[in-house]
Amino acid sequence: MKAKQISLSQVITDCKEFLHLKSLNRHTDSEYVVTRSDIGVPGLILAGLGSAPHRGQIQVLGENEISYLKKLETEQRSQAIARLGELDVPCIVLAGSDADLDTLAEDFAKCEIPVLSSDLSMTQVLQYLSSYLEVELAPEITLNGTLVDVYGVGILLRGPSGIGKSECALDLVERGHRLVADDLIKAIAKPPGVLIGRSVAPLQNYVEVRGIGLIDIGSIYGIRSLRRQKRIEVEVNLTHWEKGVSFDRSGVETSSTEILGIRIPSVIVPLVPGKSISVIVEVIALSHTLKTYGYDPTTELDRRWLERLKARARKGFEPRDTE
Amino acid sequence: MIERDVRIINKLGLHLRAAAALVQTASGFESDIHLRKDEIEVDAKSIMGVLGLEAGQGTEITIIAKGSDEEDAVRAIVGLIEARFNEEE
Repeated sequence: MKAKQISLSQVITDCKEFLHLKSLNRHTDSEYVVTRSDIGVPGLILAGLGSAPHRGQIQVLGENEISYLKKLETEQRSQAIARLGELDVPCIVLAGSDADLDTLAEDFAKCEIPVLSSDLSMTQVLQYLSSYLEVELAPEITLNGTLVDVYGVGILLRGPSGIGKSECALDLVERGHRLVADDLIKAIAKPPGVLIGRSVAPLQNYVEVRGIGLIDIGSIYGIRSLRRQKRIEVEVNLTHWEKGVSFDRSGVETSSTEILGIRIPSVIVPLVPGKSISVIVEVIALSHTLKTYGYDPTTELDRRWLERLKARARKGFEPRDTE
Repeated sequence: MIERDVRIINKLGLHLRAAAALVQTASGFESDIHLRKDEIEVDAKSIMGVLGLEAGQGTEITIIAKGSDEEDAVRAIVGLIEARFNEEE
């Protein structure tokens, strides 16, 4: 997998509105790239201490660093700012009130690297930038399968081509669920341990049904049948029924699959004629929700059954059902 | 399993009709056939997948086939691409 990066100009375009970014010097942003989602705070570098920050890491100065700079003598201050300007990083963001910057703006304008200001507090800038970068720089993979939001659970339908993933998705949409992506899914791993899937942009809303061709789900079923992106929570593998291959019968054993290092539960559903896959998928989604609420029906049944067997062994006879 | 690189040479690239022709050809074979471009790998028997490659003119793609008729499958797909999907330009 290639290490991901994003150009500074893209970061600025995407964050400008929210962070109220203003440029303090003129630089062609396109040559600068951000490769890290964590943000540096070069306080010690201002004081002439500390080692150089990571390349590709955005640096943010907050209220403390700025008031420190203001307290310095003019010459010292210019030197401190010049030290920052020589760093091999994509940009420096000055956070906090704009009005505080008047005396410093001139020195920052001379910096070699782009300097931006935001009137939000440093905490807000750090939070927003790092959550934005975490998504943009998250490891990405393309999956073959169909992603549907079923009762709020992201179900990833997989299986060989022609087995009926798209038809199943169509049936689910008909039953009021929402399509995220058919056939080709872009998945990213968002920390901590969340897998997010979305469709390849131009194919959004479309499903291929053999015999009909491409279908625009959005125009047939309306906007409520669609969803832009969804956390992928359960994998459902559709397979052909084969004699001799054993499938999970009790639900005690749970299997899982790993995508981008994130483990999600996986269910194998064998297909036989006349079986309604969409109903089964709905049940899988609901039982996953039950489990996330802390109730596992199989464990519960197992517990009750063991109790019954124990009681029976103790008394030597079958307890009378009083219910 | 065999792999072969091929360049998309027709003017419009893998547009809808061309993608449909490719899927049609691929579906005629038993083998598992995938197409790869950069880090994206798609099922050659699915039109959504093939469109998802967003392969325009000049794009290099890799055909990966695995199965009893893999040789024939790759030859047929390469032939189709090199014949510019039998379209007039």
